[in-house]
Amino acid sequence: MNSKEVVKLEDVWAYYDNTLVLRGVNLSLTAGRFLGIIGPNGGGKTTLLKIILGLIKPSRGQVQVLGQTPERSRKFTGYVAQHNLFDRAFPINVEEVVLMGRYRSRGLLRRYSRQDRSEVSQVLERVGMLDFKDRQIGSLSGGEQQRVFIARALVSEPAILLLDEPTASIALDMQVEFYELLEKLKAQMAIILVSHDVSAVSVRVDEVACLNHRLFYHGSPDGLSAEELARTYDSPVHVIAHSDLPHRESKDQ
Amino acid sequence: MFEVFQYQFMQNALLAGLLAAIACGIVGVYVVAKRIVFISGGIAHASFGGVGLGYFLGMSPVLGATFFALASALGMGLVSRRTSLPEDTTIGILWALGMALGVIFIGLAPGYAPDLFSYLFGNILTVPTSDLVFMLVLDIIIIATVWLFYKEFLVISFDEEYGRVAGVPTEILYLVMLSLIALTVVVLIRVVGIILVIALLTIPAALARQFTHSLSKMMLLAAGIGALFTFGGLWLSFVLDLASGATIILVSAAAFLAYFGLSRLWRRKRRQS
Repeated sequence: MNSKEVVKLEDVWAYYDNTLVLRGVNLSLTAGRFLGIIGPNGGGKTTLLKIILGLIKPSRGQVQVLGQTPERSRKFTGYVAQHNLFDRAFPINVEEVVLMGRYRSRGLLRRYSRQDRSEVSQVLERVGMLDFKDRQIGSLSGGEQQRVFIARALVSEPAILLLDEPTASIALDMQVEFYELLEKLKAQMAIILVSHDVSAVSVRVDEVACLNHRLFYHGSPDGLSAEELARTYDSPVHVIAHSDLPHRESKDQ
Repeated sequence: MFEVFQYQFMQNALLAGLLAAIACGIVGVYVVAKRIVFISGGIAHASFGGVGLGYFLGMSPVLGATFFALASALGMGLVSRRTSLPEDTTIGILWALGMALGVIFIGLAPGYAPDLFSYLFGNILTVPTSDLVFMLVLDIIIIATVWLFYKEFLVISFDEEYGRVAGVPTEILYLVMLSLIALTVVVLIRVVGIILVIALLTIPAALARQFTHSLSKMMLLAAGIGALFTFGGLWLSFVLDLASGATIILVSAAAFLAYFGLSRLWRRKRRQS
């Protein structure tokens, strides 16, 4: 296994909208690993992703992505933002959305080439969305839209894939398929997936990190105890019988 | 019935209508898709300060409006991006500030302001050829800019944060987009006036959106619809002897309401059968 360190955070403190959301976070991830970050809403998960992307600057601490500053290595990161934030009626089709992922290889004043379009088609094929190429983005189901946004992140051939609550809009039976896709992608890139859904994440990932302003746990999902989770969520977490994984009875859904 | 179109002033009016339709078709699509209608209204009204400045300094009010529209576009864009003030607050302040400056400048100007009303509500029948040339130049700038930055404008309209991640210079391009709105406002002032600009920026694009989900096709369609509205409104205003700018807006709004009314009826009927 390639043990190259792709993401390294050292004592990172960060504000979001004038509130301190990250306090002294240390995190390290090596290539080819699948990390799930779990924690309550408002615990700083999205902020952490944005720090790795260089969209938010930490007030204190060091961030290195692929050995460089986050801004410089942004061209090697693929990002799928929290899904519910775009205008569903926007006049744009699936191909145009995914083509945005090729922007970096073009830059200002240069049109997308035939090669860009063929790579878009290949990636759409890979996520099973090629037949939807000409459809308006808002006319697709939540799960289909999510696959389009993943295609947009993949078409730039990233070394790190960052996913923010990717399963929130996907029907339960589609989630299995979604995680199978990530399983395949893992061979080519490191993946960081952020979610408040403890049980779904812990089964699939190589490593799990519990974040609620501070990092409470980072390691194998097997080593994650109910006590650690309880500390992350500031509340007791019920371990449901007949399952080898701790579940949290969610009250905020 | 159409012999009125042989007059020079009528031909100028038609050309002005066409140039206005092209500008509002192209830029209106961004205004509608990116939902920046309010900031566009702010830019339009703030440009009145420039009209007043033109009178005060004895230069062309259209030139003054161009300057004010561009300055307010950049001002609103920068203040809303760089400070923590809410965007709509900034827009509201600059909107009123521009108009207030206009009123003060006109009050200070010697004599009285003869065409003041036409800058507020448009008068397409009095567009001189020199203004047509100016409108044409602005149209060419608008078309060229959108041609150059089409893919960037698409990214920042749809998903600005992703644009930043992808390396698009989003802030600069947003300011360029607002500047295009400012230029469009200037093109439209002669036709429908500062106060009515916002209708021609939104109605053709909003209608075009019902027929396609491609931005470029929307632009062509919106320009065509806009031309139809300005020509129709112009003709009707002449026949009924009504104010041209207001008639163009009424024709546009009537078409808009009719379309949505009919499509609702049609959908209900289809559901029943």
